[in-house]
Amino acid sequence: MKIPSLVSPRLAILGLVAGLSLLAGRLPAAAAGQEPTAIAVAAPASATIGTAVPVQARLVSAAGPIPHASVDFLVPASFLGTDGEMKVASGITDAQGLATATFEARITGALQVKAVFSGDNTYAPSTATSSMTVTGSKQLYVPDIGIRLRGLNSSPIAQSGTVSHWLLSGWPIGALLVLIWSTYGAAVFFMSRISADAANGPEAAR
Amino acid sequence: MNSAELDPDDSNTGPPGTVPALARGVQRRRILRMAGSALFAVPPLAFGARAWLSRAPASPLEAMARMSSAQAANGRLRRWSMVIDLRSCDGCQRVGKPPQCTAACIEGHFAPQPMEWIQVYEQELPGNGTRFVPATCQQCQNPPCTNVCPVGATFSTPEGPVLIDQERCIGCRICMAACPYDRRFFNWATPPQPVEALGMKYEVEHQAPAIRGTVMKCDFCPDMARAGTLPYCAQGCPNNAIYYGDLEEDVATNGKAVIQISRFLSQNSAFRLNEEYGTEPRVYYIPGAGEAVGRDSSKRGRLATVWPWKKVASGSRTWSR
Amino acid sequence: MVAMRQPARSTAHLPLEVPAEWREGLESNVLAPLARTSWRYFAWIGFLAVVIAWAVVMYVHQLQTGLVVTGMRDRISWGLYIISFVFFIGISHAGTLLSAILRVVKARWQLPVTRMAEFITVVALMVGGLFPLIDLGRPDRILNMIWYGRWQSPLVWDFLAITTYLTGSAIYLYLPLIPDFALCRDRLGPTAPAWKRGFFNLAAAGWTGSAVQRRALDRAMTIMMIVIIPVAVSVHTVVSWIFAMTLREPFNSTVFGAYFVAGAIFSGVAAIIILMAVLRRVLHLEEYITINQFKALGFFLLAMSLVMVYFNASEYIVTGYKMEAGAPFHFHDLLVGYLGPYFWFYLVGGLVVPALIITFPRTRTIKGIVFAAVLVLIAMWIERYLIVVGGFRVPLMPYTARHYGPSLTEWSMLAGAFALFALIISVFAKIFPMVSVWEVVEHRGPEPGEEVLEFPSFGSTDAQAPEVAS
Repeated sequence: MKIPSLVSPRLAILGLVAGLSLLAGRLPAAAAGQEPTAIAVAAPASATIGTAVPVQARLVSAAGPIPHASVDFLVPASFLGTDGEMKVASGITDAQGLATATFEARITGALQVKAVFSGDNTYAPSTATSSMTVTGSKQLYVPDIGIRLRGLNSSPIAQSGTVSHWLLSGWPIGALLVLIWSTYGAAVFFMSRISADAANGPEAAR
Repeated sequence: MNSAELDPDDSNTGPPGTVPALARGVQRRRILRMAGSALFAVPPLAFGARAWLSRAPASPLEAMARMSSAQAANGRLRRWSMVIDLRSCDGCQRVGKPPQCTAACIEGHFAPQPMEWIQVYEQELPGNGTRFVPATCQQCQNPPCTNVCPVGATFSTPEGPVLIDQERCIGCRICMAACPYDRRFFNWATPPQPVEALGMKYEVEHQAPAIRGTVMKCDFCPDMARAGTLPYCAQGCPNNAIYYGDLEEDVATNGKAVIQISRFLSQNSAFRLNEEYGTEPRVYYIPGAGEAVGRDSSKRGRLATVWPWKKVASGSRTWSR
Repeated sequence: MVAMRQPARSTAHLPLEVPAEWREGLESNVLAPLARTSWRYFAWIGFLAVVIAWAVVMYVHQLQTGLVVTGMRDRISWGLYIISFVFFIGISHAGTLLSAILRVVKARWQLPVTRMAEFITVVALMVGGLFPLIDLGRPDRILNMIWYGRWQSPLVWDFLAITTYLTGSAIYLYLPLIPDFALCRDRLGPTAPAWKRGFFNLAAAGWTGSAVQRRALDRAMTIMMIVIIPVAVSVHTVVSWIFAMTLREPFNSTVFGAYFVAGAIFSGVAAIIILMAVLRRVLHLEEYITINQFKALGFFLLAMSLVMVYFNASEYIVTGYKMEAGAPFHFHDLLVGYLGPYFWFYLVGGLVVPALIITFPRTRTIKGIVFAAVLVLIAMWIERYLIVVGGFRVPLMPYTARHYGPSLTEWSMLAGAFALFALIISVFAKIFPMVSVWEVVEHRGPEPGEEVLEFPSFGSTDAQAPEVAS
């Protein structure tokens, strides 16, 4: 996946947007003593599940970029009847106020990536969202089962991680049994020759 | 035995609905193969074996295939998992009750006395404190129990849970010897169960009514998750310490918040019980001693679990573990 | 080994160069129990039948109530039944060792007791094989082992191994019986009941002692005596694997297979010494089974006790040196704790004292050797108890270790098993000659002047000791 070009052309736009919103006074109401802040988030418009999605946020105040601030990235999620936003990544802003992180999208559909700055003693909190579409149908999670030797310690449902070799499948046990039982069979065969010779007395053997 | 056809990764190439047919095919071949060995092993028995094959009862694989396996929106198979946040587990000291996860599990599953399918152990910590560790079946991905079962009555499902078919189990208890987590329970007698449990139709994923002489354990409630609700234990926890999730979509919830499992595990230094066994459990723990709900680690003890049923089936007996 | 190159002569079935009186004496002595039956025998059989019937009653009760009637519970989920299973499979090794290995190396001194040893093998396997069935929670579903059996399960390995071993042992028991069946057939008096006549006729398989038959018998026996040795060794290895394939601390051991095989041979030799002493007295075989056989088996027991010391050392020193998680609990249990008295009895009474008894010529009498064998047999039963119960006792999770005490049902089943063992041996002793007459005669034959049966290698003082007659 191509890294979104947040740094060069879009960086300017992001800065512009953040600056404009500050100027327009559209910042959320800040608590007493906190400087208002603005955040902008950039994410790719589309992504495939299972790949790393880079996201970037720029945090500014009226005085310029805010460095060393922690920014969280959240996506909305709904699971087993519970709706919420789950944190998927976080980053620390640099001197340009840029926080960069990657996350792996696993849920398909339209995704609103939300960048959240929670605020601190100096700065007021702020949030921003960016839309992206996640597609794909690949099974991603690979059960971590270590190494299995098929025929020795493979479970009723074999999974990946199974070392398969003709020597390891079940039949060597069967072959061993066949070998032993055919040996028995040979002994029984010789035994049957005893009764076959029942007519001959010991004298005839001479 | 060759069960490569069941490899869940193969479901990438075909529709997930193909599992049942494959499972049946493998099953039949396996029966024939075992019958072949029986021909050598037990000559007198084997004469009738082929005639009997058609009478063989339904296999757990077939039973499993009958269940609708759970899929994410785009057809991906769910991989159920659990995260237990020990920071929020105080053994229900705060609410002054026996562990509520166990209580909810017992009520939901009619788990017979003395089975605590989720059991809250009190573990000594360095220093002089303790922590509470609620332990379900660890749902190992390399389960020692399924491997030793002589009849394949306990098995892993592609979704992850390890289940037991009590209608096939012969009660040899080698799985109990093999389980390193003490998470399997045997019906030493006809266990006490409420009358409504006896009327239920037996399902592998909801082990009621209990069958004497067979092994039971936590089944991870995949049927409930499929229906869109949390398992009983997670619902019952007053501190929301139990997260139930799907590793495929990397999402879990405790009924209050939604988390991304992978990140949550790493950020909180999650661990699994006895990692050195190589059993690869699907149940993760976040280290802690109940501090998130105000427990002091030196406060010991929890109340004993009670089985609430007033009226139980006649002829039942209980025992101690 | 059959003396193939001795051409068949004189009588209908045997090549005889031994004094005719000696042979007559042997035959009539060995065959006497088959002809005469005293009231004591019926009383004995009746006693055994009562014990077995009691065990059956208790088993039916267990079937009706469930395994709750035993002392086993979730945390010690195997108990007396599996202990006894391992024990009986262990003593079944007597036959293989005594008869197969010694036949392969053409030893002769053991010939009078090979038959008994082979009987122990077959009967111990039949009785021991019952215990996993008794232990099952759902014995009605036992056929699932065939419908759904999995190659990967140690219990399926057990099932296949024991079936294989039992079949092989039965064939191996039957082969050297054929000439003796022929002897019985030919010696049946005119008053013998028709069923007896028919049975021996059938069992003798038309044996006349012709050269063709002798060659065939020799070949069959050679095949069986060789194949039965690896089968026997692997059977007890597989038995140990139902434990060693788990992740529990004392079971999780790579030495378990060999440890179990050594223990099996040790207890098997003790079992054959005891049975030899009993049958010698009851069947009046003093002339053929002498102090020589006891001494030879006693020295074998001594050697095996040293082997057991070695295995215990390699098991306990290796785990005790590291003291991994779980090991401290187990060692505390064994050395000073709950299982301490049993463990020390096993070490001292089962390994050291029997070895000392056999080492000193003063105690190396038949009585002394039999006493040592009884000690060994009890100690080896306790050793299996220590392995099973001691292993299951180690807590896997933070819980208090559970105690295990066998219930009346379990003790009844064990008593029933011993009674069944004795019953089958007693019944067989009435049907089959308990000494392989033709082999004893044959190996007496080649050098009639030489005392082949005198055990040569254990010093002149012993040979002159008066206990030969005891």
